[in-house]
Amino acid sequence: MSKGVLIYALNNEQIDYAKLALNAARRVKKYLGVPVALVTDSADWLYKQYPNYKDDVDMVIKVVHQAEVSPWTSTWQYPVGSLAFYNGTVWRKVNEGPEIVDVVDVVDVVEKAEIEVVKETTYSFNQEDFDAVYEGIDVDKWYPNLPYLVGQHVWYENTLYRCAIQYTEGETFSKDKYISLIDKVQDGDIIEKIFKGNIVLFNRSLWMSKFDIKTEIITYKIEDFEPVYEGIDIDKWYPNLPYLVGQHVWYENTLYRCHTEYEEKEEFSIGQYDIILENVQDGDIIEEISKGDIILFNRTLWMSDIAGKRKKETVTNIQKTYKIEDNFTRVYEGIDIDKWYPKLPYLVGQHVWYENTLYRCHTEYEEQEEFSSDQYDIVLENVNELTQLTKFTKGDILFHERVLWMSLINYDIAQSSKDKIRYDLWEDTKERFLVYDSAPQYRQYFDGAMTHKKLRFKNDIRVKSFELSPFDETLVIDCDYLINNDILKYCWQQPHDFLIHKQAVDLSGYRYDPRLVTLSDKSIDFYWATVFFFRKNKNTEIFFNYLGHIQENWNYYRYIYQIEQGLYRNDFAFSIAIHVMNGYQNGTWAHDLPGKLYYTIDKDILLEHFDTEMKFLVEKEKYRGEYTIMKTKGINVHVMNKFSISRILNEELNV
Amino acid sequence: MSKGFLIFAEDAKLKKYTRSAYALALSIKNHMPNADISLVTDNKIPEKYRLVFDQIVPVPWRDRNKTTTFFKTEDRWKLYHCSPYDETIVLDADMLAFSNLDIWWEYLKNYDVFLTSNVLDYRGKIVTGRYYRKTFDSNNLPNFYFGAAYFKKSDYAKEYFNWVEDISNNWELFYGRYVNVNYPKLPSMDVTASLAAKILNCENLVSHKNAPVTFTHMKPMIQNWESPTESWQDSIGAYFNKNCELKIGNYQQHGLFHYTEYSFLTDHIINQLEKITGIS
Repeated sequence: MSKGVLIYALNNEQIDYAKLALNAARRVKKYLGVPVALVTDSADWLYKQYPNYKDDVDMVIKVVHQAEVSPWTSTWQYPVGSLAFYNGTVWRKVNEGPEIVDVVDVVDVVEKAEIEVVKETTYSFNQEDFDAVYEGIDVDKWYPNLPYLVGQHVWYENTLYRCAIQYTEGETFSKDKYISLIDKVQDGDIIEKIFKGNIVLFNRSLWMSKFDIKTEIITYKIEDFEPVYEGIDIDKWYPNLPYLVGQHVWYENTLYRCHTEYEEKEEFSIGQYDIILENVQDGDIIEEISKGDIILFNRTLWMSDIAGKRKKETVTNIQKTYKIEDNFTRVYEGIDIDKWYPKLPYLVGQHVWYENTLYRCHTEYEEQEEFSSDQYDIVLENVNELTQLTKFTKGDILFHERVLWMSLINYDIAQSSKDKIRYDLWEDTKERFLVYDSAPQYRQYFDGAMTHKKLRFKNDIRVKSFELSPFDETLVIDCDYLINNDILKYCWQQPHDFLIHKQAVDLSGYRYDPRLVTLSDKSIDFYWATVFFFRKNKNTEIFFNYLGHIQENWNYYRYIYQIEQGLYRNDFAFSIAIHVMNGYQNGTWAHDLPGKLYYTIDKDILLEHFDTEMKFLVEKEKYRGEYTIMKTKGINVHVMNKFSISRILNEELNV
Repeated sequence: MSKGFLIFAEDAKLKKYTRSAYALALSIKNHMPNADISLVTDNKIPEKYRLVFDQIVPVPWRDRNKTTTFFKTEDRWKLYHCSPYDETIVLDADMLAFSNLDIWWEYLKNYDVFLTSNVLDYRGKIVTGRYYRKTFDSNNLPNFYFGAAYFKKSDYAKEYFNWVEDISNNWELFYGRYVNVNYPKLPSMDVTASLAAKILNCENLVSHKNAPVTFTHMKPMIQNWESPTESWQDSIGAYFNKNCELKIGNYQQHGLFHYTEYSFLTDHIINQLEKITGIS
């Protein structure tokens, strides 16, 4: 599982969020030691202003207004230097070459000799799967020639009856003597398939199924059977071969032992053999098997202890993706080569390809069933047929369409497909991009108690964190969240899918804002989207999808949750989504992040930040514009005054 | 051992509480179709109400000449004696059930008497506000609620209810002696039940702060609001849907909901409950 930290840096008119994010990334690297991905709409600024950004950031995710990079496609011609979007990142073409080679052949590969049988097991009644119903009623299965009493409950052909008159049955069920009570009552002794809510009869009682129940299908391999007649190797009989005394031979479902050394002709000579065992079936072709059957497979006899059917053959369609003219050079030119086929005449000098070897015929000859190697001279060995190969290397000589070719490329179908970029031609820039336009919002940014500016506030992209994150397990932090310890490492060790802070501590010690406890007086609990952790799975994907829906329909949700501010805030949207994920009540869908969330507001000022120590000026209670000095050591702090962080970084960088 | 819910509703003129008790019984049947429910009342009740109650139990030992307070608190001690069940959960009539409460029986079988000690606000948080509990705090009474209470027919429970009877019949005397700070103007079953537990020194035997037995109490001053209103319905919306689920503001309600304001119980709610339980 990949893990890392995602930091957003969306610059506005006056605040260099990229700088703040680089600082945050540096601290992540130092204290958490995990990769960092930076989401920014100012990538060019970042590259130009901070050329060493790669020291702190492992991936840059560009937010752009229009797609500047197209998705890579195999049918385009790309010059060196081109950029293309592929597999989640931007790639740069670094070498000349065709994007991908054409499909020249399609081969159906049949997986043979997979001797497996499939057995359908019967379900055994398990009381835990059922609820007892109609308790207190004993039900008898109907049997012929028995007396039945008035009121007796009788089950016959999936129906429950009550006997209406006292009666001794004959051979057949007398329906007119019974009142039908419940139909579709299955026999619990032989359940094959039953749906939730169906009723079955078992052990003289009626039961209702809690679940859908089906018989299981179990696949067995012949190797799982018991071998019989062990230690004896058995050959299938073939014509025109010599057979030795004592040799075991299988022919037409019978096992024989040869009693006379003998060279067979076209027909099986039964007089040369003793019958050992009859009804021995061919395991290579058997379609259906019964318990106790003996079969021949892999030169051994096996006895089946189950009944079942042969698993279907699987056909795999393999697409070959190379282009002959681009990737091969013709060798042994001017010679046409024929594949060898039996029962054909071959001429002197004719070139014939047979079992990966090239021959030249030296005697005019009409072939029989078998290849007559003495009629040919070997010209070249190890000549594979091109279309049968899934892998070959540069320099290999290959047979294809009556001609020999030498490969100019290394080829492996596992590495090559028309849907895959060529890694030898392209390099991953480790940069991603997202086309996104933030909704224009403005808010006041304070720089201490006495100064403020109204600037753009671009925060709504955070709802895309699931889509954007390159990690399976992601910690998302604000770029003004300054890490001074390793407590957040625990996120990647704990089992919960989503962690966030519900409560926070204002370092002033006196300020209390009820809107940081609930979204409004009557509304739901407040969660802080400053830092959160999520593990990618269906559960968190639903959460982020819903978050996007809230963001898109903000005015509706603002009204429903009685939020007084018009400004879209991630804290609010996250709080609403968590509330919904909890089923519109307080719950445990979101768990607490380790540690506490400490913060100073933007009316406070960060003065110094050395190593893990921070020095603040915190606005005094009731004395506007006056401050108290305060120091922290080793705690993570959300410093909302971004101007003051920026000033400290300028001093560090001598800007 | 028979067990069932018992609801007390006695207001012959307005019959608000019998209507509330009927709605509560419907809501219990919605989640626990096999639950036994009895109504203790002297009111005449519509015939259809009988479909949800197993028994209509008259209030025993009525003295027509004796005046009682509006809420008939003085008669509630009789519930122990008139309950048709071996194990009884007594509920206030102005409640609705939004969950199956079967787990309560499992828990309560360990007690002879049980009184609720923690109630919840509509957000599902334990109520900490003391606005309505000044009498309890001033007189050091245990913080019990009789809105959801349990008793088992047993010697211990009988002794406890004998004390409840004595206090109910002489409430001015007992309150004057033991509840004299913030003295209640009227008898309160919560105060009486708590006082009986205090006299018997059995607070820890009749309640537990972590018990699953609790309810959402909708009195407005304990909802943890900065600006409460006289009626909680003026502050926040109530949304009752056709599946008989209730949202208060943004919060889905579960368990037992003590709405406290009769105007909340609209005909729409009763109609929906009748529909879903098949009684109409």
